[in-house]
Amino acid sequence: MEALRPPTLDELRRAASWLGGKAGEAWRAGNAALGRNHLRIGITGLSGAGKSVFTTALVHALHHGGAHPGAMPLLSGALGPRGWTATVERLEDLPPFPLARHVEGLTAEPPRWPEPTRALCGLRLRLARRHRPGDEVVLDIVDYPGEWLLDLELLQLDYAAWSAAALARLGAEGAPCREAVDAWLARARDAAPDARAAPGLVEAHGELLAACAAAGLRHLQPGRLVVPQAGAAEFAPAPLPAGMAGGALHAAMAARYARYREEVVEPFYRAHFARLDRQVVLFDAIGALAAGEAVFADAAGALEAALASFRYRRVPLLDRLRTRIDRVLVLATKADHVTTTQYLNLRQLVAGRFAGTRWAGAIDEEMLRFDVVAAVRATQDGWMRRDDAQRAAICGKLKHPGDVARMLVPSDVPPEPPAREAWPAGGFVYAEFAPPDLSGHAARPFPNVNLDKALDLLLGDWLR
Amino acid sequence: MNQRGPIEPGLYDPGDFVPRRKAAPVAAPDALLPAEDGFVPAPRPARWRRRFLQLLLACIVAYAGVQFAGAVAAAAAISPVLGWLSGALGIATIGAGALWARGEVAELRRIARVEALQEEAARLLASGGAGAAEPWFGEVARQLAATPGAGPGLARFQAMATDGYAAPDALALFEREAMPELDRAALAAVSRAARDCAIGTAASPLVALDAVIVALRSLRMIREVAGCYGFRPGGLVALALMRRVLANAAGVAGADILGELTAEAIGGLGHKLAGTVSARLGVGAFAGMRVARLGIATMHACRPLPFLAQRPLVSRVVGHALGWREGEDRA
Repeated sequence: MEALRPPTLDELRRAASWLGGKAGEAWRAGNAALGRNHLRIGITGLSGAGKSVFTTALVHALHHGGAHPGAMPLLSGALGPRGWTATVERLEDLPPFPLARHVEGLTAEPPRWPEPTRALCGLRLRLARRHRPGDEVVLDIVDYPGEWLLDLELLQLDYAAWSAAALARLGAEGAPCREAVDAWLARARDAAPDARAAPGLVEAHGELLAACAAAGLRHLQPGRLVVPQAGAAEFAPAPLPAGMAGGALHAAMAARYARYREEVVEPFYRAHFARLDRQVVLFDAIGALAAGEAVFADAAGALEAALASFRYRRVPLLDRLRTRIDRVLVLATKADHVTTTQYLNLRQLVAGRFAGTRWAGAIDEEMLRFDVVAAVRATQDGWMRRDDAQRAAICGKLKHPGDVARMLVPSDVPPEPPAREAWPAGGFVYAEFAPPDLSGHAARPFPNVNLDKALDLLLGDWLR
Repeated sequence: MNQRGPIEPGLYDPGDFVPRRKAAPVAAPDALLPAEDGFVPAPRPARWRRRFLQLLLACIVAYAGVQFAGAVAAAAAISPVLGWLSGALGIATIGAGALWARGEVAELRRIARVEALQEEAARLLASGGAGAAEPWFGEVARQLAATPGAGPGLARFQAMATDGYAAPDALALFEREAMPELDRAALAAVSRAARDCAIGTAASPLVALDAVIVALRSLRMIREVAGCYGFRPGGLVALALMRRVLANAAGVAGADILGELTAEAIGGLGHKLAGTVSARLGVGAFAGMRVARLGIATMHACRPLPFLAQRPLVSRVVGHALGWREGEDRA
């Protein structure tokens, strides 16, 4: 009989996940009843994704949005129509995020983008909602470099496998810095039998990675050589070709690799990463498209590797032993660098890569979500009209050369990465913009694209 | 649409830039899924069911006619003048009702039709990109400008919305900010109509009068709800609503006959008054419920966008009409 057939694995998985979701809701409700209304949010992104701007704008919006709920309408649905009050505090266990300095820079005359934060930092927000007096919500915001997140991949690979993958990426066809990579490999081969050459080689590898990062590559490991962490460079490894296996240098590097995993990656995982409840991953898809095919493929691979580090929670109490993250929000940043008509395609460009893959289940259950965002909107949307032709365009002040208002007709964002032969001959045309005049926004949310929607996607279910 | 004419991607002098303004023509996103054609032919009712319903309607009309004729004859039996007067009064009432109905329909027809906007809203909710909903907002705002009570919500929405929101988000925001006043007004109109019909049918002595009360009051309710939203249904939806108005009138008349027969039967046992009263109350409640259902169908038909957050419930309309749950409604 049809009705009595045993449930399929997928159905069981769905049932378990549904139960897990219900248990999670009950857990949160119980915590709220006990006055422990507390959520820890990680914000990360690879260099250049706009992490400092995003964190600054997000905290600024939550801090001052309560007095101007109309400025964040999609979030105010979750936080209550009568607004809220917020206070910003330090986190005991982390260095503070330089919020005041960044806001000051953005609202200065002329405004300037915040300098990138290249270390772990955070702050705490206390939100008190006016329509529910006495019910306080605490958000811990932890900002850490995406490069360190990529290092979590090392926990799943042994040295030989990691070396092969890392060298394959650096030497991929069309990758920039091929000559520098070849030069470094030659140097490694020359030093082959001598284990004492390892520190020098690693230092040279760090310089190589810095050059690759400057050329736009993002999937670079070990991440602490790209974004340094105190004390980590001392035993950071460098990849060596498989042909050198068995030599003293290879053995020394493998030992460094094991130590790096044990003393740098794992402690970070336990002390910070495993304590996050929700995670924002920022991705500069437009910058990657502009930088060309090889850089785009590399950046997309880096995003995929970063997302692979999250084990999406199924059964909360069991999974608390491993990791607590129950939602990851991937945001394509700098949406204001293209016209509004391109947002759908931009979102699809990022999300399409994960549809129908092993992430499909997490996407269905809204544990993995995608959107586009511009934390600070630097351009105005409109059209270019010339004679009888018209095309969507944006207008803003360019970053280089500064203080020049220009109109940009950006390339159309493809809804999926174009094939090699379909890549436009002149590349994708985009530009970097300077921040707009924000002098009136010292105590109100900055103009943005979809920042309130992103916050609603990230926190809406929990805040309601 | 974007004209992919001679303009190539690149940096240009800002002199040719035209900033986006609200309600300006917007380029549709390039890749849109084709809207699925959801048309399903309605199943033909079974032949005997149709015949039964036709005969039932004929029975009701005949009974109402006989009852009316009986009332006139009873008056004539007292005095021929009284007979003529009551007959003329009945015919004049029906004539005035017809004129009223014509007036309501004429007024309804002056309100703009909504179907095109509803179809557009469904398309935008399915796959609308940022800014794609702006022509829709422009059209709705133009219609609502004359609608009482819509102003503050519209102004709030226009102050909050930016062109960066995807169309489904913008529509949800529109519903949250601009629609509550209109929904409340429409729900109040439906409640009033349900209450009037319930009381009117409970109080009226004649089956024919019941049907006339329900038909006319429903018509007026449809016009009021359309007035609240600033839009009226057109085409097939309007026909379906009118058909439901007539079906309700016939249904209430049928319930009345049934109620009288029941009262007669109970009356045979010597409780005629109690039987009549309870049957009248039952018919009143039945009429109120039918009109409330029709009113909610009218709200769905007139609203330029579907209910996204919370659908109206018959129980709330009825409760509102009977004065229950006042506190909840005010909250």
